Amino acid sequence: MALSWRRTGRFGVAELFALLGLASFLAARFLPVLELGLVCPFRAATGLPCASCGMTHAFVHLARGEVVAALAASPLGAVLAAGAWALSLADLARAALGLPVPVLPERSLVAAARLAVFAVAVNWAWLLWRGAA
Amino acid sequence: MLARCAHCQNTFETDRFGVQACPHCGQQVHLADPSAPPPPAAPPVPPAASPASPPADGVPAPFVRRSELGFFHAYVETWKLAALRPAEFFRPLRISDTGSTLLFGVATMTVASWFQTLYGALMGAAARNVLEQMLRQMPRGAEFGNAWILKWTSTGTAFGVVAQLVAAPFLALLGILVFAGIFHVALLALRGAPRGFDATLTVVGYAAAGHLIGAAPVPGLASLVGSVWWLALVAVGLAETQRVPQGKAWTATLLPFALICLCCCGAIAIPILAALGRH
Repeated sequence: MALSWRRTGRFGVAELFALLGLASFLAARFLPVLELGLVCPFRAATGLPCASCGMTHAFVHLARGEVVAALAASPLGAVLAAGAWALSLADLARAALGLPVPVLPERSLVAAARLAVFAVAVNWAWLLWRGAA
Repeated sequence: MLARCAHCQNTFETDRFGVQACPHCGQQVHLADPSAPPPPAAPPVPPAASPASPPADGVPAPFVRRSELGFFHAYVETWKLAALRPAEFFRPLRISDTGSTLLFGVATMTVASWFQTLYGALMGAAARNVLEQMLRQMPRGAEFGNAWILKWTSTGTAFGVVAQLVAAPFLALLGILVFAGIFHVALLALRGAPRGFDATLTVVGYAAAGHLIGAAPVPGLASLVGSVWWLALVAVGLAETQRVPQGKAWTATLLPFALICLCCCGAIAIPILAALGRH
């Protein structure tokens, strides 16, 4: 099965996610989110990083163009931020031009979902290993 | 030509009419040939005797008809159905009304959050009073009556309350979208999302009905019960809306939490086992 296209209204769920992605960039770039002193409850309780530890740092570093620091904070966080921002821009441009939404075949969606679960596990293993090393 | 399955609502390409299996959900679909002669006209059936069959694209929730029913009445009817009769509610539900779904979920979670903020502020004020009384009973404690710590707690609490009240609807929207995304990834990984993301989002939005119990004046416990109720509604709703077995829906709902628990246990057990191995 190949990629198909679906006509949709100008503002839908995809655009809502795109706006959230854009808001995350603006927050990471312009708000002092690292100075808020937020503590991961999992790390506070166990002394070990959780699966999403370092993602705020990754988003902030990447928004400031510090790619290496972003990858060091959380590889998955850096990839997630880059992907989310790229998709946000692409979707907002698509909506502005009134183009249809690309719909991936189900097999590709399933493969992508399994890859995402695997990526979370690998990223967490790396964070734990780095914490132990 | 493009055909739409009446069961899962997904579209697929086909080159023939007649009965065939939907490639998405496997159900039998009958595509009527428009060039075929029309069937003989059936005798008219009185409207009272005709069975009430749901529309092909599903039944809208009462909240979707809020302009017709009134906002409060439509909200209460939807809440009762979603929270108390979830299987009956979610099974025939139309999944294309994502705007109403999000509005219902955001409204419910915001109200629950506002009540929790209020209880938190009241408990904070009570704690401040206790602190002030303790200071008065201490030798030279009255000198601290205007101390920075009391000013800081009062200002901090007031600022925190306002910030929480303002942020509540935005955090509710964010929570619904993020959790819908997480549950959908889990469903996809288990091959349990034949009706797409709109169905998952519809369930997560209306399942927020469970969170309203968090508005009960039992701080902590009420929000815990509300969260458990919400999870149960999500699992039941996903099974009915995505047309997947209950086991698969419960697995997808609990998978993210189970992974966290497993990793917690593993992360705690590894150092303990390593320490035991040294002795």
